[in-house]
Amino acid sequence: MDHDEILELTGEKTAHLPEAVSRRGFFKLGAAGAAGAAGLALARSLRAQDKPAGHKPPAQPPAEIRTNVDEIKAIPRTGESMPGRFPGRVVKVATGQVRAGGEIDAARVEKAVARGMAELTGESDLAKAWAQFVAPKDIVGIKVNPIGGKTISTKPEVVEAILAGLAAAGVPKANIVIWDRRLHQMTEAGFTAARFPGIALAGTEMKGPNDDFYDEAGELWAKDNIDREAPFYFADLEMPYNKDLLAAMINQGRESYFTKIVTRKVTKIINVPILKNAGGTVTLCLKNLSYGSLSNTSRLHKIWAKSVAEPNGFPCLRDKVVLNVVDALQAQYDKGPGANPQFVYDANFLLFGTDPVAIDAVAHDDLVKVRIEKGVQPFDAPRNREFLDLAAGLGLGIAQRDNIRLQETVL
Amino acid sequence: MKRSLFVLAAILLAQGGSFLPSAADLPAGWTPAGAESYEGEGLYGYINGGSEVFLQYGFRRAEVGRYEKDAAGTTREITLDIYQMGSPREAFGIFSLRREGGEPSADLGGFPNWASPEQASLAAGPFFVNVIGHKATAEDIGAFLKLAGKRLAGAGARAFFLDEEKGPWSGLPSEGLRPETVRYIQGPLAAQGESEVLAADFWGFDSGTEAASARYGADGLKLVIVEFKTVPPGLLDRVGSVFGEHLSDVRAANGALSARDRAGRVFLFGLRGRRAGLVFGKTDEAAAGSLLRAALTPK
Repeated sequence: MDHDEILELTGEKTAHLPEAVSRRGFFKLGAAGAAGAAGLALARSLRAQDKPAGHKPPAQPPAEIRTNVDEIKAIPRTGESMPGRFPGRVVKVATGQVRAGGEIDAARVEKAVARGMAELTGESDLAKAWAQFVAPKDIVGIKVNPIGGKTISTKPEVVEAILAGLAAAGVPKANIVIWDRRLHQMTEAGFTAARFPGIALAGTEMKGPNDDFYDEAGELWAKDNIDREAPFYFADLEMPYNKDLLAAMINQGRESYFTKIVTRKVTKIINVPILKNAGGTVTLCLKNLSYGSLSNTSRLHKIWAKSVAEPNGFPCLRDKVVLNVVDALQAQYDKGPGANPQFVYDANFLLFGTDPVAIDAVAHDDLVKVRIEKGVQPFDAPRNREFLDLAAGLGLGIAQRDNIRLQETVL
Repeated sequence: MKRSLFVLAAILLAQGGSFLPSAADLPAGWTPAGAESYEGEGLYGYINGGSEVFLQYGFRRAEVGRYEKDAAGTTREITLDIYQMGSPREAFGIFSLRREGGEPSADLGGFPNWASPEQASLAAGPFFVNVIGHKATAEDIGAFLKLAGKRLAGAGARAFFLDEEKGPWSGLPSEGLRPETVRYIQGPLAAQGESEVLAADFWGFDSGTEAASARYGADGLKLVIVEFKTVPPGLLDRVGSVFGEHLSDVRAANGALSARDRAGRVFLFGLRGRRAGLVFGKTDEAAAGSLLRAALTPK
């Protein structure tokens, strides 16, 4: 049976052409082999579709959700604003196998980080390479992603290698904070005081000394961890939260506030996400920063692309994120962003760059390729790159692959 | 039709009871290392964006138990999640999304289940159980899965049998079907996860459209059966548009579409009444056509 025969199973070469298909010039109604398909009755069984039951007007597309992103565009940029020192540049270091028997080869990871920094900066001297991004007086925040527990979170070994670089650049331990939204998830992922002595560990959402998110008066312990005075992200949608969810969101309504960690505490941010899928795209640099820094995010999933991109345009992120180091030693290609070991694989690479959009674009293509190879998705859809285009439109980086310089090296 | 007797279990949970194993029930050497629970949209506090698909399957409550065991200088860890979904059908649905087919399964009282070296899952009545291990052995993970299944069975949860309830899976042809690959698709996120072709709004997965999928034969040819409450007008045009945008060699006739992707995989789509079929995979077109035909031919 050839291609045409599948469609011409009754031998009736029909004229029912989907307009959209023919308009795009994709339709090719080949004649060869069509008639020989008699006896196969697909078309007969399909004829009923020509007059689908229950004609109704097409559903109206959801109204565009208004945000306040235009307001922040007017805030002047600094010399270090995204996309930083190396717009459109991404360094990929293939590490070789770093995981064996459930353990990560920390020495190999440290070498890979050093190599990546050297490739990115052109400085073979570790201290000089790191000094391009941080100074000893900086308060450096290392933003990790610990949501996937020990299965698929930023690996402590990667952060340890970054700490080695910061130490080489003269940044004292007391000036470094490893942070995320959720302190308890950092603990679960291995970011503990025992493992990182002398380094501050901070979360926006946190329990108090009573081991509860609420104090005896029913107030959230974390309520003052968000900055209600700094510019906030407004999105014209809301959802009610119960008490449990409010503990994880800190506030409800139409405003999402940035954590004081980014607005007040740190002067520089090093973003260290882990490569995971979110549907047919990645949850990586931009998402780790936006959703990791904001309160009241549950509602934002309804405007995923906008809410991943736009918060990065706020000065507390745009002007402070100096470097992105992507942990793709292990990655998850399906059923993310939650941890599902079933879909975790040893990707064995790290990405480096100052341009979070370019890195996300490169990683998106890489992960989609894996998903297609594994039969998880048939093709890449433009909709899945929307957040990249939005971020590029805000001047946060380069989304077009033709304009991205990917520099690959093997350890 | 048998119905799962999950009422008792639901009452137990509503009363604040727990299905997490107590310390006395744990396998030798294991100790509890914490427990949490999440209700409704509170699930965002546990798995953030990952909670959306659960909510679309009627999620109600989750219990999360953490366990540890010191063995030969290594701390083994287990996280046991017990999710109460809206119904046995929905519990099976969320369970089914996480299996690829071909994973080993065990006899756990008829509850569908699978295991991989670091993860195992089962569906029991309205409950979906997920076990994840860190440095734990497959035996450790299996033991916790078995323990959870036993507790849920003891509370009256019954296995959900596809052949005992009508649903989109009823349209899956039996010949060549790999039963361990059957998925029940409810809600836009599961649909998108199943195939990018199903990601567009016009399918109506947010308003009652549902689907089932399965793989067939050695090649793993995939069939998705979509059942509409109301067939979207101009569906063939719209699907043709999706095909045209992403695939090549798109052809249409008699209410069916065919196309190929860059790797040469075939895609077929057809509609009969309120049921649509989508077939794709690495296979010859004859097999794909036969499968689509079988799926859309009234039984």
